[in-house]
Amino acid sequence: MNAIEIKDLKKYYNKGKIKAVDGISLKVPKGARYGFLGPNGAGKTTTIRCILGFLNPDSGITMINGEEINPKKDVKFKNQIGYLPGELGLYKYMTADQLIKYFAKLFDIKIDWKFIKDVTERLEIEMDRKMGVLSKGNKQKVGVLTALMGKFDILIMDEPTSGLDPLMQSEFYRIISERQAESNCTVFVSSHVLPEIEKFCDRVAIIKNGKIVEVSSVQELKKKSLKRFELDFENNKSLTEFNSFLFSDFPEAIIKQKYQERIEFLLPYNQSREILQYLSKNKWAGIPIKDFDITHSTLDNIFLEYYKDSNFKGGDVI
Amino acid sequence: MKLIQTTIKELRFNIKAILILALCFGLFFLAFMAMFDPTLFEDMEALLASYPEAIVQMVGDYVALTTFGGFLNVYLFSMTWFYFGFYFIIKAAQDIPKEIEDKTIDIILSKPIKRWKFVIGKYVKHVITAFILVVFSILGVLIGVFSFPNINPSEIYFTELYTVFLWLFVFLVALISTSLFFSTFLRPRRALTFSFAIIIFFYIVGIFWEAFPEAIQGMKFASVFYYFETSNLLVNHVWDNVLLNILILTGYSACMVGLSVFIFNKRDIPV
Repeated sequence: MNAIEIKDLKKYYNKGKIKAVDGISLKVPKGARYGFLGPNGAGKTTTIRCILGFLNPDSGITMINGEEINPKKDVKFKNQIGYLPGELGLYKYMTADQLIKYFAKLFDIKIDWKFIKDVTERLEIEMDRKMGVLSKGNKQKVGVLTALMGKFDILIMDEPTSGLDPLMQSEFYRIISERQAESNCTVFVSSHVLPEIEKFCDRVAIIKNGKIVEVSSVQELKKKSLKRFELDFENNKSLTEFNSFLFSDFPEAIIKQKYQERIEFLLPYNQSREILQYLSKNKWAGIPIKDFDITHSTLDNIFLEYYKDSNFKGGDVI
Repeated sequence: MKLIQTTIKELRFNIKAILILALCFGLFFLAFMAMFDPTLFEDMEALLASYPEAIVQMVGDYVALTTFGGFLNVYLFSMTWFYFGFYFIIKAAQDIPKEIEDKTIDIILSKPIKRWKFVIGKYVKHVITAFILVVFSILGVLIGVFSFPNINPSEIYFTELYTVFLWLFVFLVALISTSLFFSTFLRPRRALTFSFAIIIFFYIVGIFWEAFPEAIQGMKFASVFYYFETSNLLVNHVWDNVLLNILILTGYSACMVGLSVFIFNKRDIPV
C-alpha cells in the first residue's frame, strides 16, 4: 500500500500562466524513506501544501494510506501525519513545553513524555524558553520535536535540517531512523541538502518546473548517472595520447581535471564498460595505465544533470 | 473540543493584557462617574443644545447632561466605539493575517483541526475580551453610582443601564465581525486599512445620514452605527426598536462570521 499517492496534481496561478505544479503523480510506498528533490520554485513546497490542504489544487487526486481524501475538507487524515514546514513559524510567546501540550490537545493524543525527554536531550532542546528568544536552529529543533511527538504513520518534512548544525543534523536523522525502525512510518523529505538525502533516502523524486522528471531509487539513479574516472599514467606522453583518444572515441566525456600524469573525467554510465575494455587492452605511448579509480556520481551531480538546460551533455559538474 | 482548545490557548496567553485593559476601562468609567454633576452640566447642556445639529448627533443626539442617562449617553456611549472600537478593529483585523505572515498557521492547520474552528476560535477570543471589557465597565459605573455622593442611585433606571451595556457588547461584536471578515482574506496592513475605512464609512453614514441628500439616506440601514442609538433609551426611556436593533446587530455579526468562515475555507494559505 502507498502511504501517499497523488495523481495528476495541478496547481496553477495567474489563470494558468504560472504552473507551480503541473500534473504531478507520485507514489510513496508505506515505510519508504522518500526524498523529494528540486531547487527553489520547482514546486516541492506547493505539492506538500496541496497534500496537506493549505492550497486548493486545480485538479488531481490525493490518497493517504490508500484512502482518497479531500485535503481541504477532511482533517482526520492529519492525525496520521507529523509535519515540519519549510518555513517554520512558532508562537513567540509559548515555550516548547506549552507547544507540545497544545498540539497534543489538537491531535487528541497522549504525550509520550519518555520519548519527548529523549529527543529533547539528544537535540538539546530548551523546553522552558519562549520561542521568541530562541535562535533559528533551536526553533527548528522544537519543530522537529512537534513533528515527531505522536506515533504518526507519515512524516512530511520540508527542509528538516535547515538551521541545524552538522552534529544535530546527524542526530536528527538518527532519531528519524530509530523512529522508522520502531513504527515503520513513511518519511517524505523535501530537501536541497543532497548528501543527506543520498544517505537517508532509499527513493527519490526529482521535480523540475512543476513536473516530476525522475522517480527512482537512489542506487538506480546513481547507476544511471555519470561515472567518475581517475586515471594515473607513468608519464605525460601517455596521458597526452590517452587524452587524444578520449576526445576522438568518447566525445561525451567531460574532463574535470588534468594535472601532471593524472586525468579525471566523467562518462555516461553506459560507456563505462567500453572504456574499461580499452583501458585494459591498450597501451598509451607503449605503457599501460599505472592506476585507476571509478566512482559513482554523487546525488549532487545527478541533480545538477537534471537541472542543466537542454544542451546538457554530461555537463561541467562541480 | 478543538474549538475550545483554540480559544483557551488564545485567551490564556493574552489574559493578563486583557485584564489590565479591562481594569483600565473600569477605572476610566469610574472616573467619569465622579465627573457627573447636574448643576455643573446645566450650562454645558445649554451650550451643546445651541450647536449645529450634526455636532449634537455626534455626541448622542439628545443633549440632556443634567440627567444621569443623558450624561452617560453623551460622554460614554456615543464615544464607546472610539474607546473600545479601535482596540478591537486593530486586534481582530490583524489576528489571522499575522498568523499567515508569521507562518504559525502552517503548524496549526497541519493538525486535525477544521478551518472554521480556527476562525471561530479567534473570533470567540475577541468576543470574550469584549465581554470582559464591558463587564469591567459596568462595574466601574456601578461602583461610581453606589459610592459617589453626586449620583443618586434611586434616580437611575438600572434595567436600561444593563440593556445599554448589553447593546454595547452586541455592537462591539459587530465591529469585531467586520474586522474579522477582512482579516480572512487580506494581508495585515490591508485588513487593518479596510477595517478602519469601512467602520469610518459606517460611522459617517450611520450618524450623519440626515445631512445626506434624501435619495441616498437609505444607506444608513447598511451601517452598524445606525443600530446602536442609545439616546432614546437613556434620555427618553423609550424602548422602541431596542430589541430589534440588538437582533439586527446580532444577525449582522452572524452573517459576517459566516462569510468569514466561507472565505477562509475557500482561500489558499500561501507560503
